[in-house]
Amino acid sequence: MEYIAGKYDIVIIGAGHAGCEAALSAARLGCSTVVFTLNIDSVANMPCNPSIGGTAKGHLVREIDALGGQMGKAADATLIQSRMLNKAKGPAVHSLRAQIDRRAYQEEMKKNLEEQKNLDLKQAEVTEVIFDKNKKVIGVKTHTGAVFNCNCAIICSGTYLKSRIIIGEVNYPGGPDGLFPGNELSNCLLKAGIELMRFKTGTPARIHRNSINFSAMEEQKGDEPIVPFSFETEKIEIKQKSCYLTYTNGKTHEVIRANLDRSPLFGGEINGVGPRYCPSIEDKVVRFSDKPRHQIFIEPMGLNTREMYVQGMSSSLPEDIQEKMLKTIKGLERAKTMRTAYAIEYDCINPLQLKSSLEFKNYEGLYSAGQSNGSSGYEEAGAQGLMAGINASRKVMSKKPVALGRAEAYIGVLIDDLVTKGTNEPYRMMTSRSEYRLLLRQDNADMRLTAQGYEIGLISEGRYIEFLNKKEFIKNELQRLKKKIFPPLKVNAFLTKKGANEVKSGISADALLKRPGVSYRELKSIDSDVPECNSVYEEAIEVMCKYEGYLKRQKQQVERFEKNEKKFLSDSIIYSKIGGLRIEARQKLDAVKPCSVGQASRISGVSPSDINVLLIYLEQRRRKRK
Amino acid sequence: MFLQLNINNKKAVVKGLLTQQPFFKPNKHFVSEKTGIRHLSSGTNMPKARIRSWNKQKQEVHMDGFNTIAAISTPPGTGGISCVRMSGEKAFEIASRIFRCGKNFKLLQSHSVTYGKIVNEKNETIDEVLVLKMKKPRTYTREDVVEINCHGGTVVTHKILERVFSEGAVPAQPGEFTKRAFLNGRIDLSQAEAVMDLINSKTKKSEKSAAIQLEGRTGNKIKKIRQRIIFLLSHIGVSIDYPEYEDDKIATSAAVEEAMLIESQLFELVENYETGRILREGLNIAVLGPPNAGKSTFINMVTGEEKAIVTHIPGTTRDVLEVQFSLKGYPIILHDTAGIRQTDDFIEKLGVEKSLALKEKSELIILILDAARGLDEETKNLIDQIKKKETVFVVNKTDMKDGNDIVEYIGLKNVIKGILSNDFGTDEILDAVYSRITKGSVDIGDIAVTNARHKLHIDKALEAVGKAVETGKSNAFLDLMSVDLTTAAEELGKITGESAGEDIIRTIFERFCVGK
Repeated sequence: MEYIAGKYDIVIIGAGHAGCEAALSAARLGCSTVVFTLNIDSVANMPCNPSIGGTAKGHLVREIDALGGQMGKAADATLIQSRMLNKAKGPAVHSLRAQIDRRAYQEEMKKNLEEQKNLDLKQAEVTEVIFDKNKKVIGVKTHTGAVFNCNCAIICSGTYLKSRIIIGEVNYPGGPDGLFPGNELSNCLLKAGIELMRFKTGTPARIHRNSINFSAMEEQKGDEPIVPFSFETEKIEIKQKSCYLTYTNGKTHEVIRANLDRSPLFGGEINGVGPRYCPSIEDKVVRFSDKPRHQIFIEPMGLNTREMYVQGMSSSLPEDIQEKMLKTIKGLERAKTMRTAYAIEYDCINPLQLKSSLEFKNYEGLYSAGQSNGSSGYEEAGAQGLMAGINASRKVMSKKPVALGRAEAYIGVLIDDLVTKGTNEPYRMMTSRSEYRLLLRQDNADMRLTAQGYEIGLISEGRYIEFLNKKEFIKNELQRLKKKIFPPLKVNAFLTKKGANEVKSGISADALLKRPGVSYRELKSIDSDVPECNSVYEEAIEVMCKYEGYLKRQKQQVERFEKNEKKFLSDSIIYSKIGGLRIEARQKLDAVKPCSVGQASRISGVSPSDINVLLIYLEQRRRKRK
Repeated sequence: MFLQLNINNKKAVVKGLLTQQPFFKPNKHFVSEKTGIRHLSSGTNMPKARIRSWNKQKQEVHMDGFNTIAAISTPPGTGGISCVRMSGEKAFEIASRIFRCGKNFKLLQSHSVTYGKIVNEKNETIDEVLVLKMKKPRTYTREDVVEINCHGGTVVTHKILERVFSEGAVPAQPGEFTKRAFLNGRIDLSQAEAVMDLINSKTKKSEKSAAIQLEGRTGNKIKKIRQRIIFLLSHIGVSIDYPEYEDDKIATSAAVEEAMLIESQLFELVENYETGRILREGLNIAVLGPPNAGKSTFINMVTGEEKAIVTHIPGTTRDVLEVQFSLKGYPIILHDTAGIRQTDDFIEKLGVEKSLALKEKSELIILILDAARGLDEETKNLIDQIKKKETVFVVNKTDMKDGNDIVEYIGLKNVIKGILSNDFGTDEILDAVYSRITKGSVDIGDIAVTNARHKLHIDKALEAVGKAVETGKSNAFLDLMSVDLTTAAEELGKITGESAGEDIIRTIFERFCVGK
């Protein structure tokens, strides 16, 4: 039975981290929106590690927040431990990572969805996307036959499409955390002509807190004070929970090696492509056979649960072997497993089919975001969800799509990599993926993106004004530091106290701060003009002053880089007809349909000489049109 | 080889130069880049360019985003004069820093030729030159153009090119002058396809010579150093992206130490370039022939006379010997090979295979045949196999038999007859080699240009690693170090054709055991 159940501007398929951001942004921008989930109790679930952030991922959360997304705020509200990683390794790679109360996070996010104007949350499996004859999306259909008409649909199906759980010799269709898979939607997409890929990932066991001997492990406490993810969260005062560190040992490895023949990874049961950065424990033991031990982190799943996550022990070995190997580990000798580790295989789309707006090139109004695009991680998903939600809304409102640049945001790097280079494993954000990471710091995410967020419509007037004030304040203070000159006498007393070399002539506050070991806060002791401000401002000022030279250099690189980004390529160019291009380049360009010469140059298989030919071709077109 | 300038032939030179200048003779416009003249004479893909006159069209908008490019725009070897050409916004500025003529460069008249000297960083003369300054838009590219006409010969010309690079010009990509001429509206729309073809064919050619170079020892060194940088970067990368993994961390001090070792290796490489040793790795000549035809005799004659021998290097196989020497200023590597014949002996077979492989790799072949053997099947086969390649044919041992049967079979006029054991014919062979080079039928130009380009990238890599070391020492932030190291890896990657990003990530996961 099929019936018309309603009409929305935007339909979102899936309410995971991508789906939630997409739904909230679309609704907040004024579009009537519905978000479907297989199970309403699993909104914004964290089926793997109970944490948000980490290197590069923490940056993504900051950026989501700077643009007006929800993830940072939800994490702030529900975190139970927080750390700033890489404090000693340079300001651009400072990264926030927080342990999250998984249930609380889900409830927090669900509450946000429920309370959001223009937004409906429904439990149903979307089995079909309905297209008109021009391959434009006109609606979706659920398993109960309800048809919802819509202008745009965003696929945020995560790892649920035709997913299969694998535990040793046992495998069965199933989604993460014992949920049902979505078995129908893949077929519909395939039938419409969309290319799918098969990826694999996995998660370790959860064990009972009371069965762990923590005295045999190293405790890892959180940092004080807690730095929030959101620029709008003032402070977080909680009693933090600890994580614990232990190690595998020779016995563990023995158990694994003796049972490799029962591993589906090595036995050929698993066909999906797994991520290199998320190897299972058996993978680690085989590939790094000379390592005597591997780190295992025990992380709390929340405040109201005794479940603990065993990071570092992702596995698809049979359950009996898993039990054996867990018990070889110091502190886990009597561990009681609550959930067994498993590998999961799932369908995702080949992201090369998408534009930078995350809309399909050949299917108007259809978008895709998150793990269904071949990425991995909650933060990567949230970032894409936000952008897809924004762009779908803009389409509904007949506005131009927004795409962030590689020099603007990690979000820009993430999406550009996916839609330009594609991926052959679940894609994880890493700082090494960004060419301009000194500029893409977590401390300046607001400076980079909040003005855009305001223009898009997700940043409130009040927050925008506060942002402008901050910007102005920092600018003024940086200028003041340049003008302020200290006489040698005053500075030398300060420097001697620090054990640094003295100066002979006067020195500006700016130059003083640039010296190694001098912090902005310390300046106060000799400079009474240093204005009162909070630590976030202080950090921004210090970083911008200290690394001015590096930042300038990187900005110059960006200027060069952006010249080709601004040479736009029309969708109507048929590359196969440009004689001067090499055959491979023609095929790749036709497949990707880059929107700029810059993007074209990043496609693998397109050489610099192809780009030259392309420039000639563009000029030829331009003159012909005259 | 130095051209003595006096007033009279200075004028003559000027006149000669002017007639070569594209601007004054439009139908040669396409041909004056690096290898251009050969393009024209071999009648390949460039038709006569129809050029709109400069004053009828407004200046085009493409000036932004263009670097100042430079290249040697004359084919190698001809006439003792070479031309280094620069085009772009900074052309005049760069020229003013390296050119001394007793006047302010800025005040020199456009489209005039000035005599002076090109000096190095220490203000020492590199060469006496004639410089042609041409202000936009009345130029081939419609940008400011400077042409430095110097004394031909690989070394001097490349010193000047390197000097221009060191002041901020970048190597012109294949076909780039023409590309700019087109983009700036200098060349008619109808020529667009031809311009694309030109870029394509030139790219193929330069890629080939770059690939050949990378197989050599220098190429290997560059690859190894780059790999080392990538290793260090992956170590830093894992420390940053996986801070929780204690075992895999690298301390800043250790990173600085490693960066310093890399710096010293790069420095050594640059030193080698500067003393010209690497430039001498230029032209590969394979000496082929049946066993006992006199190949080794020939090589001994060449080396026995000690014609500027640099080194003897035993080959990687027991039966290929490389001899490096300079032929009137041109760097040459002679490869002595195993005699080619049908054989069942396993080791000899390997040698023969090597010889045949060398045949493909070499820019020029000297085929030495044995007159005493006569025109047997093997000799015929060899001639047939090699005929399509650029070859100097030699029939040796003509004291024992006249060898006319072989000469007849080859069917070419310039076969050299010799008695190499008496050093009879050696000079003739070398002259033939030299004339092939200077006629341009053997391509040394691309190799030499590749060299200058490589040096530029190595210089930049060295500078970047230096900065990384400095950074690491002064404020001890790994992240800032990795920014400069990435630049270094990317500069070397421009030589080896690899990009750093994915390499670093791949190496992280290959070397380190991280992840949940």
